[in-house]
Order: sequence, then structure tokens, then C-alpha cells
Amino acid sequence: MAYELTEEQLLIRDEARKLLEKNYSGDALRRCLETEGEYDRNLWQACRDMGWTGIAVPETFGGLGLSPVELGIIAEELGRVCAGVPFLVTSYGVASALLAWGSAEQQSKYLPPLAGGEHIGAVALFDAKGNIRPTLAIEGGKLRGEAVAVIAGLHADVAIVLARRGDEAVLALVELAQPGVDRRALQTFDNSRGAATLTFDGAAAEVLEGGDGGNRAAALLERMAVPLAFEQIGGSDRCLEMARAYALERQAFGQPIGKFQAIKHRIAEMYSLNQIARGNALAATLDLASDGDLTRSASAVRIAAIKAYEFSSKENIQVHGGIGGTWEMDCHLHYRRSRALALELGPVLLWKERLVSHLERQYA
Amino acid sequence: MSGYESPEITAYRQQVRAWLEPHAAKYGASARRGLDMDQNLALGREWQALKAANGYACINLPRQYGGGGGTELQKIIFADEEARFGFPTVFFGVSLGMPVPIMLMHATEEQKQKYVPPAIRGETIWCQLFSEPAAGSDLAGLRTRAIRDGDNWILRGQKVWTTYAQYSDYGVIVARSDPSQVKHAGLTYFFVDMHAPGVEVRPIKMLGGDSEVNEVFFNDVVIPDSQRLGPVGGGFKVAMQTLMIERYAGMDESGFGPSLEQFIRLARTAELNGKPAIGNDLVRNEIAEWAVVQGGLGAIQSKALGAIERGAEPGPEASIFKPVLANLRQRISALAIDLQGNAGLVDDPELGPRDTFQRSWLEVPTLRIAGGSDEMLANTVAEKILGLPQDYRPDKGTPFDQLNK
Repeated sequence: MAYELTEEQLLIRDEARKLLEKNYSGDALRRCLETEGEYDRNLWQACRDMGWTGIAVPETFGGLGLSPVELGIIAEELGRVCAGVPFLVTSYGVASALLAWGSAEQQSKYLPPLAGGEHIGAVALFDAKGNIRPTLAIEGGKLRGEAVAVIAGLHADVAIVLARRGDEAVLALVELAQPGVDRRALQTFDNSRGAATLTFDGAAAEVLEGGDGGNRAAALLERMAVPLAFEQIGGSDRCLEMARAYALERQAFGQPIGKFQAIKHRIAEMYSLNQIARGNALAATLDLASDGDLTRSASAVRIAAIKAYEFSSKENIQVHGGIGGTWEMDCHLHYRRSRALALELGPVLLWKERLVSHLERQYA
Repeated sequence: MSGYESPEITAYRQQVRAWLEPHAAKYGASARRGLDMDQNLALGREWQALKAANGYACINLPRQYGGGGGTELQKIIFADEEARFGFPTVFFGVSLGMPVPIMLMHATEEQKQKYVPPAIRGETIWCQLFSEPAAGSDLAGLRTRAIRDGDNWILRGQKVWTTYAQYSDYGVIVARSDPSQVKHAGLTYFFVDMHAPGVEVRPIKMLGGDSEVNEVFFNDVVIPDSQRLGPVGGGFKVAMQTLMIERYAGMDESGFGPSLEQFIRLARTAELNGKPAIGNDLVRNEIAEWAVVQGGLGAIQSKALGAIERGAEPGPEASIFKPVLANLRQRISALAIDLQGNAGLVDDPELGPRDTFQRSWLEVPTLRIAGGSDEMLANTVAEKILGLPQDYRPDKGTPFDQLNK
């Protein structure tokens, strides 16, 4: 596998871009923002129609059986339009856990509906303080406890959770449409992410047997970090394009503001950060596809993508001036999204610590 | 640089490494410790001749002029491997990187036969005489005059920052042949004998104590018109062509400074408040930032090599390498010096910028300017890649001799 996209992959990208740009509406996302627990249902339907929901799920389970490269392509395109659906990555997380650690029965039962998009997946691995630590307990197949602010938790049909079973930590699979599961929507600064607090009171759940839950949770986050980084890079590139277009059009002191170095150097810096993030994303994609050193490359891409998107989204508002800070402009959609994505798989502080600990071991 | 590469590249890399390794004892970093400049240069000439005899000098230039007749990709891989052993190559970097290839593009057949093979064998060295006291980033503002005198030209003026001019036998130079034209149009390009009467070279001592660059004065130096490269008035174009030859500038993952691994080892032995400094979060933050830059640039590099391998143009994103790495190196070198306490003041000028953080830190200010300042490179990204408009340039359209009046 090489760093360049193949003809087929370019075709997938171009089709996705066309479709998303046609169906995208900033107004749809703005409505989501004002409505607790809403997401862009039309866009999700489009994802299902295109088969993207199962893009990285093997064909035997009803997916398209494509590689992490194609998954990244779609994630990037969704990121460009600041899609009001978080499910591509959250469902991928559940499918990914099942493929790695699920039993044959679990795989054949749960993967096909995830691949088809009839089911939405969510992943709950953090405690209320942002540690990878179980807040749930499972005993005799019954799950109890509270998982705070689970992304897509409000809409998901099935979730992978980190739970305590006696002295050990395990990953468990739980269906959310059952008695004993209570969901509470949270008002957030990016409501389209479907964040909800899930309370379990004896809900039926199945343990993914055969490995430590803490290690698996970390490995799962690394896998999810790769497509999420593409989503971030897509958004960040879009911010650069918006800033560039405005800098060409907006006149001040008798010339386009893009002539001023204070503006153009800011946009050049966006480019630089985006390219560093993209380079890391390519490396991590290859590691994901080939079981390489994902701890290093996934941590690196997570850090790089957070930094790039954060910079581009805030400086895009700055380049726009006053109008960039208004509700009607799309700039703030990316500003909000960049922060939401910076949090969702754990903040940059956590990933930096993870990366450096890994390097310490590598250079011991 | 790390990253994924094709089996063909890996195979060539191994072939090259196998050839290089046995020579390391005689020509490599450890053999060169303690040598002065002249001794280094003598060893460098020997090394260059040995490479030429084995087809590893100027790998991508034609065999008929002493090159290796190979590909640009092979040249890049070879240079990458060669750098690992610390062979004495610096004296030939500019010479063979730009002046010699531009000679192959513009000189007559007779001149090519006469000048190029000895340069490739390391017997002669060429320098590039572009920058001037009043023309750095704004190269076309240069003032050195080329005055027509029958079949000859008279060169009068001053160049500066000329790398290894003190060791050079020849140079390529761009000078102003017609001041009544607008600044880009009145320039002409030549090659010049650095031993000709009237050429005066004065080394400049840089802030790190080294003197690799020079001032070069041209006191009515006479050169024949046959040493003109390109048309009269076409000098700016040839100058740009010269700068474009190295479309792929290799960068190692540390930006030619100490490695990330060296920094981690230092942080492990250094102490803050009696505890290992590597436990300090500010130190850890810098390690993370460095690894992230390495990961990103490493992939860009691999991608560029892949493009060259396929015969395609590498993407423009490699233009971020130098500013990103130089700034990172400056910040981390300062932190690394901090981690050594007062002993961090100790500086050994015999060592190179890869060896100590002190040497690295002293070299970086120049790196951020040479070959395009941070600011010019940001302009390049904004204008050439992103299509933003050029700055306001009040000198545009005005004849050179009417400027600043």
C-alpha cells in the first residue's frame, strides 16, 4: 500500500464530495445546534445509501470490505462539511471491537446491522474525569452504573463499554434499547454529537472475553483516532479554504486583505499544520491497515489533528473579522466541532502522555 | 527518514549501505574528528574521487560528463545513507548541487567537457554568487554590474554569503547588465574563474565561530562573453532555474541537529528539583511535539520519494520542512541547554550541530534565514501553493536606475 490514492479511491472521494456538498446545509447543522439531541438525519440516510456505514466491515458481514484508507477518505469528506452525524467513527469503534475481540456469534449478530446503518454504535470508555477507567460494573451478565457524556449515546442501538467484573476490567457489549437502560441528553456546544449520559440498572450485557479491558480500551481509542483525525483534517482544510476565499474577496485599505502578510502568513500556517497532520494520518492509516506501531502513529496523528483543526478554525474566524463571529456564518460550526472532536477520544494532554510514555519505552 | 518505502527503494538503500559501510573507518565521522578545514577538504576530495570512480558521484548526471547515469531517486537515497556516516561531503554540496547542473543546461559542449568532470571528481569546486549586501530575499535588487566591453564583460561589485568561496575555483554569478531596465529584466548570468585577477574573497566569521561563507569582491574582473550562460538580460530566469534544480531538498528527521533520541536520553539523566527531568510535563510536551513533527514530515518525505520514483512531481508540501524543523530545533535546543544547568553553558566548537545542543542552537539562527527566510517561505506557501496575492511592491515596473530616487 502506498501513500498515493488509487484511481478507485480518488473516485470514491470525488463522489463523496459531490454528494455531501449537494446535501450539506449549514442551516441544517444550525438547527441541530439549537435542538438538544438532534442530528442530521438526511445526511445519515445519505451515508447509509452510499454504503459508507459498512465501509470497513468485511463483506461477509454485509460491509464493503474496504481498507482504512477508504474509511479515512469518507471521514475526511464528512469533516469538510462539518457533518451533523458522529456515527461513522462511533459505529466503526463498535465494529472494530467486535472484529478484534467478539465471538463468532456476536460478530454475525451485531456486525450486519452496523454495516447497513440500521444500527448505530457508541463507545463508552472514559470516567467522568476523562480517565480510561470503568464506571460501570458487570456481574452475572447484568450491567450497572453511569457512563457520562457518551458520544452518540443518545441515538445508539448498541454500545461497547468499559466495565469492572470483580477485580478485572473488561469490555462489554450492551444493547441500549432495553429495560434497565436510561439515557439523558446533554445540552452541549455541539449538540449534533448526540452526547448522553447512560444509566444502567441491571441491563443485559455480554463480556468480550479473553483480554484486559483497559488495554483493549486504549487500543480501541487508537483505532478510532485514525478516521477521526481524517474528519478533523477535512474540517481544518475547509477552514483554510474559507479563510483563503475571504482573504481574496475582502478589500481593506484599497487591496484584498490576502495581500497583508499578517493574514497570508496565518493562512500559510494553517497549511503547514494541516500538512503535518495529514502526513501523520497517512502513516497511521498504514499502521492501522498493517498492524504496525499504532500507539506511536495514532497518538501523533491525534495530537497533530487537534492542533491543526483548532488553529484553522479559530484563525478562520479571525481572518473573517466581525462577520466570522456571527451565528449565520459557518465559521463557528467548525470552531465548535474542532473543540468537540478534540475532546471525544480523550484530550490532547492524555495523548501526549501516551505518546511520550511509548517513546520512553522505545528509547529505553 | 522513517516511513514506508517501496521494495525497490529499500533494495537500493541496502546496496548503497553495503558499499558505504567499509569506507566509514577511513572517511566517516570518527576519522574526521580533530581535522582542520584543510585536512577535511583534502579528505573530502579523496572521498569524492572514490565515489566518482564507482559511479556514486552525481548519480543522476550523465556518464559522459562523469556522473553516474542513474536516477534522481537513487541520488536522494545515496545522499540520505551517506549522511548517516558523516562523510566529508559539505564542500561539494553547493558545487555539484547547482552550478554544475546549470552548466550542463547552458554551457557549450566544449565547456561541459572541460569543466564538469573535474568538478564531479572533486578536483575543482564551484560556488554560487547570488546574494549581495542589498539583495537577499529580494535577489533581483542586486547591484553588481556587468559592463560590456567588446567581446568581454567587466564585473564590478560585491557578493555576500557565498558558501565555500574561499575553496572555489569557479563560480556562477548573476549581475546587472542593464540598469535602465526594470530590475528583473536587466540581469545576465555568467560563470567566472575565482582565481582571475580582481576577485577578492574574505571569509565571514559567523556567530557560531565558523567561516563557511564569504564576501566576494569583483574589482573590474574581465570575463569573455563565451562565459555567459543564457541570453543577455535573461539572468533572472537562469538564476531561478538554478534554484529549482534541487526540487527535492532532503531533510533528515532532526533537521540536521541532534536526534529526538538524544533529547530523550538527556532528559532522562537531567534533573529538576532532584527528579529526572523526563518526568516534567513541559519537557514531555516538547518530546510529544517533536515526535508529531517527525511523523508528519517523515510521511511527506516518503510520499515525495514515491512521486519521484513514479516520475511524477513531488507535492509542494515539502516546502514546510525547513521552517518547521528549524523553529522546532531552536526551541528544543534551548530547552536542552536549560536541562544541563550551568554546565549547559559549556560549548565545544570542535563539535558539529548534530553532536551537541549548544552547537545546534548556535547554528539555527542562520538556518532560519539561509535558502529562504521563514517569512519568504511563508509568502511562497501563501502565493505559490494557496494562490494568495503578492505583497504590494512599489518597485514594480520602475527601471532599476530610477529606484530610490
